[in-house]
Amino acid sequence: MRHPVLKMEGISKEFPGVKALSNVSFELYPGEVHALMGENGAGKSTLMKILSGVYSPTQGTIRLKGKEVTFGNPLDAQRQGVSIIHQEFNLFSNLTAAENIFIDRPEMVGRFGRIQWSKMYDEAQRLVDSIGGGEIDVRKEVRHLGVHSQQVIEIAKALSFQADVLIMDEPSAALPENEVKKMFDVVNRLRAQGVAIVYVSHRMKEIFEIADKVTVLRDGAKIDTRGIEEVTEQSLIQMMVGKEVGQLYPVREQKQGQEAVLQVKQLSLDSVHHVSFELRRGEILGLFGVPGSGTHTIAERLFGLKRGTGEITIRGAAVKINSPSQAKAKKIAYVPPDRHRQGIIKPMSIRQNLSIPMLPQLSKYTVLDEARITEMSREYMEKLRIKAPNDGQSVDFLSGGNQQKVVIGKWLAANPDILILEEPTRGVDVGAKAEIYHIIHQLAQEGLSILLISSEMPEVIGLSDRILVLYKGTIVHEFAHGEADQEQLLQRASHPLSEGGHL
Amino acid sequence: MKRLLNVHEAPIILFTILVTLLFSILSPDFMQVENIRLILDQNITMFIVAIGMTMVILLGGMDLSVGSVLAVTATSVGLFLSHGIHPWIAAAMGICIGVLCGMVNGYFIAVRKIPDIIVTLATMYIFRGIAVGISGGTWMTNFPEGFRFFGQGNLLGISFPLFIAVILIAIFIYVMKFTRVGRRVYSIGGNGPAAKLAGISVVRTKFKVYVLTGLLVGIASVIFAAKVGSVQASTAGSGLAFEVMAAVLIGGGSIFGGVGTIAGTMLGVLFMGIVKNGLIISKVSPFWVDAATGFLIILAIVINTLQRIRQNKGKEGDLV
Amino acid sequence: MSAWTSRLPLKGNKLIVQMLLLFVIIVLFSFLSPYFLTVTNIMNVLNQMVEVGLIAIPMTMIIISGAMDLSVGSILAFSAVCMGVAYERGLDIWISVIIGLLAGLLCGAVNGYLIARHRMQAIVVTIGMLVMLRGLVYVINQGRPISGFPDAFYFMGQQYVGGIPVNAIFLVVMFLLASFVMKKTRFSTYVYGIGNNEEVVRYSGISVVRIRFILFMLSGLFSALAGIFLVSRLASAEATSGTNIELDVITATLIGGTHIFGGRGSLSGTFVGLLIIVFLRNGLNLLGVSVLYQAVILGALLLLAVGNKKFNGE
Repeated sequence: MRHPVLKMEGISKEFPGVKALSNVSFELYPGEVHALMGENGAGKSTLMKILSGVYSPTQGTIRLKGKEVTFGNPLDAQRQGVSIIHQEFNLFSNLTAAENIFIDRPEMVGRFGRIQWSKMYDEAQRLVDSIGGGEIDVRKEVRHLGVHSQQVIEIAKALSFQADVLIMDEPSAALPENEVKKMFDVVNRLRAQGVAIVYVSHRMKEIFEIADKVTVLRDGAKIDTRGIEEVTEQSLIQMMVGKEVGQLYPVREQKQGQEAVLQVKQLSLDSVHHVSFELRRGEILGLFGVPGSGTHTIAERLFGLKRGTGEITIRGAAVKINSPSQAKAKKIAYVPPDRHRQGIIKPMSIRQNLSIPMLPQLSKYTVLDEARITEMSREYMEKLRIKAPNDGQSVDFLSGGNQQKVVIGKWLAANPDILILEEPTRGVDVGAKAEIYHIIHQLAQEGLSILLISSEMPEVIGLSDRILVLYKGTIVHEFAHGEADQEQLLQRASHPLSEGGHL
Repeated sequence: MKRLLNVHEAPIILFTILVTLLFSILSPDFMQVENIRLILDQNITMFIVAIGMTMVILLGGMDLSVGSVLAVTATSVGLFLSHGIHPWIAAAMGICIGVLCGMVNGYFIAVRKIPDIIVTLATMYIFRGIAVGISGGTWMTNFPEGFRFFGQGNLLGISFPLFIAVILIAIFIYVMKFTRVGRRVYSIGGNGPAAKLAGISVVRTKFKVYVLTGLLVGIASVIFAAKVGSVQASTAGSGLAFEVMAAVLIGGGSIFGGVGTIAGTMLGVLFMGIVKNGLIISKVSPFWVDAATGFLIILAIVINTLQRIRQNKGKEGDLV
Repeated sequence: MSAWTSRLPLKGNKLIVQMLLLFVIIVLFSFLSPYFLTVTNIMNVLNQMVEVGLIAIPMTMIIISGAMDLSVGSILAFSAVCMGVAYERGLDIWISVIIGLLAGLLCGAVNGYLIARHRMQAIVVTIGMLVMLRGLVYVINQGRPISGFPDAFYFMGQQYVGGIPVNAIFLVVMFLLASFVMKKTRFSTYVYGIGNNEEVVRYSGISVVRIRFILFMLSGLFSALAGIFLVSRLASAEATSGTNIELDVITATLIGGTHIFGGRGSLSGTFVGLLIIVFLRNGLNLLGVSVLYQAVILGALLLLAVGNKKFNGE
């Protein structure tokens, strides 16, 4: 019987007013890839933060190779052999790959405090080579490297600390599909070297491909740890959600054959090539693709945040959209993916956030018409069931779901014809999710045309009337209503050629 | 050849060659050994102060107070000398005052975490006021013979100030490339949160950089006082901060921190020195010199922005 | 909606602290100098605060929007000298005034174009303008003062109506107007919005470029206005006018509770900050403290004002 390299016992973490983790135990063996799964808010990120030294647990012990340890900070954890690779890399884009790996490390300092560059380059190259990154030139500045190479640099950095435990947080999120394979190669090499890996991901398919074991968290408690061969996708989802999925999505009545509200012809920009499609009245059109496939770029183009070539027609008339204000004038609304950065102005009130796109209409000679703003914000708070004591409340104090409703609400108030929703339920709890789905459904019933872009497959499948699949900037498949399931969707989105797709 | 063009300093080298050519055509006096020596000599203060400013800007900061630090240091050296203190001791004490000023800046910026622009804007006025206060509003002149050596002496065939400048430049190029402090400056400027995660003390590094800048300005002001032979507290070094910042930016430094080299900055100083000298030699109204400096600052930020746009383009391409 | 800033924590306390500071300064100086609290002196103070006050209006808005304008002093001098030169060339005084204002607007437009349109760093661009315009001022008038304006022109800076200086009345009207704009119009929502989260404003289909451009234009215009009032008050346009005025303006704004990182602040606060500064300067003048020592005190006050606040950053 091997001994676990890491043993967490009875870990609890309390924040003022919230118990984020209660009595979680977790074991990790050398050379295993252990998937950690759970819905948003299940306690995954808290557990990872405890493991990587960001938080210290309220209760419980961590044993590393049999010895009880405490981590004062992330660097401390790293030195003791636990490294984490975040979704957003912590790299210095202005420095070389080698220096990123060995930044501020005493072992690279020679006599008289002189940094030994040649030693650093050699060691770095050796490390990078050992995980199959031989093509990376460690003398290059990181800003010139691709995402996969940057990830390799992050892993090499962890290995330079003799990592026993490596936590990978959504490692495939930033990678284009073709590079996920390469990342798996790296993970397999690490496994062969006896490194224990905690693999956090939402992507079922990857879990089954790479993991040896899986642990599921729900509501801050551990549900179970099982071997990967003991579970199926369905059973995992059930463990995570705790109830049958399905009632989350309203039943869509098919309303086909209506006039086309938006027509896009031969749209090209950045990585998007010759995309054409049409959006009909009262339709929810799903747009799905893995990150980097161009779905986000299309949304930005349609809202005038980026310019490109191709023709955009609204109700038969060709339009020019070169700025968000032009898009707004054409009655296009956009709920962006990152609500904190693009959706809400935090310290400002609900009413201000709701009214901001419509202020020209809600003011006379630029003077704000407070009465109408009040009326408008009451209406949408009620319609979207935004839970807050009053409309003067700062949006900072709202839950993620209610904040998201504010973002949707501010665009509904603008009375658009076309609504582009990108990741409408990111970082929103299950209850609010269902509500938002209901709202989206309702809006389409009322005749609004909706373009739904999401990386959550169930969402796209559950809501859309039709689904367009994007791969490397081109539309490769169209699913009619009820045609798609998760497996097929991912298949089309990741290997369009393997089954004789449209190309 | 391609490798040569990829050198970080390529644009500034090109600019420098261009203006040199331009002025040699405009004025026959420009390309004389005497004139070139004059350009170097006149800009010694700039060269030394710019070393410090490069480090500050690499951190992503800014120091508007260097001119006032120069004034307060030069004035106090003058004061020490007039009290009959030995020139070497007076110079050393002056440099200490420069360090002290750097510590004041560093304390408020690094420890109290007040934005650098506000701190150095405030200390710019505070130090200037103190300088005028201790000078009593009069000119500091009549420095003893022994003191003039710092500004006008010769050592090993070259002028003493130039000798000091060259040594300082060499030391700091080494520090920035081969010591942990230097690399920490680059890492903090490149990605502050990541530097912190790597266990680098941002507070301590920032503080050190502002203190080092104070030290360098202290040395520069001793040379300045000894060279000019007289110091007026209310005007000495006014506008220095702006010019030096322009030199750093023109030399390839990024206002957002993390990018730039001391060698590049030195070329930037040289470039600005050549432009000024060329304007004067070409008999343009001296009033135009200030206007040209301002224009160069704007030019520098334009170049900076263009570079950033180019870099960002590369990055987007990588993500796809 | 009315002044949502007032609901933010600290704000209430801050105003009290500011008023208290003002009160302490007034009481202190009235003890130190018997002349301080006389009507003549107070009117004198009001007369002298106009230039700083006028520039503080757009500066408050710009700092709320998360930027800064250091070129105001040079724009002031540039406009003043442009006006002076135009008058010297034989143009009507009021046409010269308009030329001065246009010069200021032009400078603001250049700032705005580079900062708003091309997203360049405001501090560096305005430092560049500061140095360049000051140089141009010397080029234009060769460093000599311009005077000899008609009496009608001095009305703006030297006359009193009902015992109150005309320019002070103008300043108060401007402050009320601007305060109304920053409380009741959609422009204010945009400015506060940009200061808090520029991206969201852009994603709401509002042209951030236009708002920023307007702000720097305003700054240019008000700096020019200040220049013209200054010439009218001192009866001479000089190349050195307005040097270092940005310290007074920024200090008044920040003491007035505007947050250095943008997003928060008010014109009423700036007005109190302005009073603090002018009374402080006036009191120090009466006590015979030199201008450069005053700069020391102002600089310290600036550090204190910013340093005292808790920053949520870092």
